[in-house]
Amino acid sequence: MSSLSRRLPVCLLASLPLLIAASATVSGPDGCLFANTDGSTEAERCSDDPLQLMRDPTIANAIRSMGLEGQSIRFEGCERASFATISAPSARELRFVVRYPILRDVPTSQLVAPIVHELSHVVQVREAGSYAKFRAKLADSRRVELGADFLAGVVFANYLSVGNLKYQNSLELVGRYREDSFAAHGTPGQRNAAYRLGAYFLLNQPNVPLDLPKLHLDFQENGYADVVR
Amino acid sequence: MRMLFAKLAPTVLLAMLGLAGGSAIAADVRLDLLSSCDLLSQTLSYLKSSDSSCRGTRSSMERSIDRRFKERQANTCFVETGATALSRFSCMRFNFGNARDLFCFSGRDHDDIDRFMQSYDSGGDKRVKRYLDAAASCNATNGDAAHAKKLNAPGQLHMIAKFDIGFIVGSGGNLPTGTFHHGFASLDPDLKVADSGVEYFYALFGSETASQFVARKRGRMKAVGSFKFYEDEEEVGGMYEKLVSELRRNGIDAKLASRGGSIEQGTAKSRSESEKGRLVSSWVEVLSSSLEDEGFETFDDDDLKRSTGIGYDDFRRRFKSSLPYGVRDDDGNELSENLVVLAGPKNRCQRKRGALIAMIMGIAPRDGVQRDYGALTFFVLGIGECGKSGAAARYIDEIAKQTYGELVRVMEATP
Repeated sequence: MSSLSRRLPVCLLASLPLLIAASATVSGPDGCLFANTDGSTEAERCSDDPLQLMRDPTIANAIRSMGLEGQSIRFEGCERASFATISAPSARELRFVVRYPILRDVPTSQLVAPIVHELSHVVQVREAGSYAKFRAKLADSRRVELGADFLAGVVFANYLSVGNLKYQNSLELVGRYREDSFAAHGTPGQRNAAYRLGAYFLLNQPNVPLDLPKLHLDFQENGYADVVR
Repeated sequence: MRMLFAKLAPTVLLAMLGLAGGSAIAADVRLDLLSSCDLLSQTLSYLKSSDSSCRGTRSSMERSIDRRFKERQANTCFVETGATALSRFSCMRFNFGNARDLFCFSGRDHDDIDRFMQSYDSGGDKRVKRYLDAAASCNATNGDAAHAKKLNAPGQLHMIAKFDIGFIVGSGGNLPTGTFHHGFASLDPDLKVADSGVEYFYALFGSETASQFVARKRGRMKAVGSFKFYEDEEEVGGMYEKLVSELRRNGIDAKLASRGGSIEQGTAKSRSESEKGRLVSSWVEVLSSSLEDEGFETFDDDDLKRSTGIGYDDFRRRFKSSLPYGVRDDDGNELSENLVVLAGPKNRCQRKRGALIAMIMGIAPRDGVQRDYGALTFFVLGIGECGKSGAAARYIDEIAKQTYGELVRVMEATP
């Protein structure tokens, strides 16, 4: 096994916001750029958080609110890439790389929703204890991705004082009516439904504590079936 | 109570009682309705107006869809809204309580819809982005424009088509629960119209705000032991009202009492899908045993065939086919074994003329929804002398109350 494929065995993709999707996505057969190749020149084009997204106030607030402060998360921007969350399973402690595409003429604000979606993957994996345990429990790609959309909705509505309406479209519009099951993210309608279920969850169930792992579990046990109906 | 269950059973019930009666525009998918601010404003003004003049049907598609709605006991009213953007549509107006809605449809070649969906990620998404942005910017909206999914689509659409793709935007200002919808769907081939697809526009002018809706929903919830019981008196009542009025229209005195609702887990212990299914069946048994204790007799399949002409399996098939085409195959609509018909004691009717019938229906919990424990409904119906006011009517009310009380007692004791 190549060193890179050992380093990048996990790739949870958020897909791209609409405006950047066409120009930036060059996906491998699994929808994860170069996850299983070694020494790619494309991978060498990545650099540590070139857009300084970690310092973006909304994203920094999201990391804090989601209880991910202190978690080993590194942001990486690549010339040609899809959004992805990468976890190194061989490390003693969980470490994550959130990868994003470097795009010209796209405001940082358009990257916020997919980044929060990726951070939701960190919540999912961390709660399971490891990526392997997480996927053992949740093998269906669409369940994983809609779960992250749900969590993004919860985060935008309850933690980030930026309003949630302008962010729902960033995620739903990259849904697809035609996709491979192993990398399925859901249709635009399903992605919107998952996001909104999260955004309005506590309005509908006000007595439920704001606990992201528990809310995610509830989504998987109850909400998901309605979202994909 | 699930809406489908509540709204569609009358057709089958009437059938059981022997009382039931029995232009393609080849064009690409157009995204031009929700982005038309004039159309949205005009539609709101139209719905606020009291204009309710109905016109006759004008095309074979209108006639076919008109028949479909009438088969489902829906009152149809084709209208002219005056909106230029809707000139290619046929529109129908409906009023439910204080809510008013407008459903418009236009035949399409489904191949065009399919092509749009298949090529969505090759530019369709950009068109949709522009469309939603334009819709959100209209003053008549609240700025919340998004893709819709099947469950957001209007009930009228489900009656005639299977949802494919749609968009929804909330209405603005102080309009409660108002929404505009636009989308595309696959037409039911049984409608036998020339088109394979349909484009729809739908506007709802609601009667309550979102918070009122949530409060009303919560108000319907009753804690029964460890479970939550959502009584749907409004919908169930409407369903049975139609049954009773149909009987009376046929010159038969009728009196009916019913209870029903959806059941959620609450604080009850977690159960597997099969355990939950067995529990619903056991609750159906509680209801039937309670009625049997009062002298009701459960119909077996032969009894039912002798009395009504159809057996249990046929009834289930009819129930399924009575569901709207667009959602017929969804899970959570199966009667499975949870269907019991009982005949009441004849001596409860004056001069022993008339009959008492009870029916219990249980809907199995939906797969993959842990908190869902299905739905239960039952009614006791008196017809003829048993359908007249007086002692028989009081007995019917009392027996329904007592039967429901027995169910509550058992549910309260269930962990």
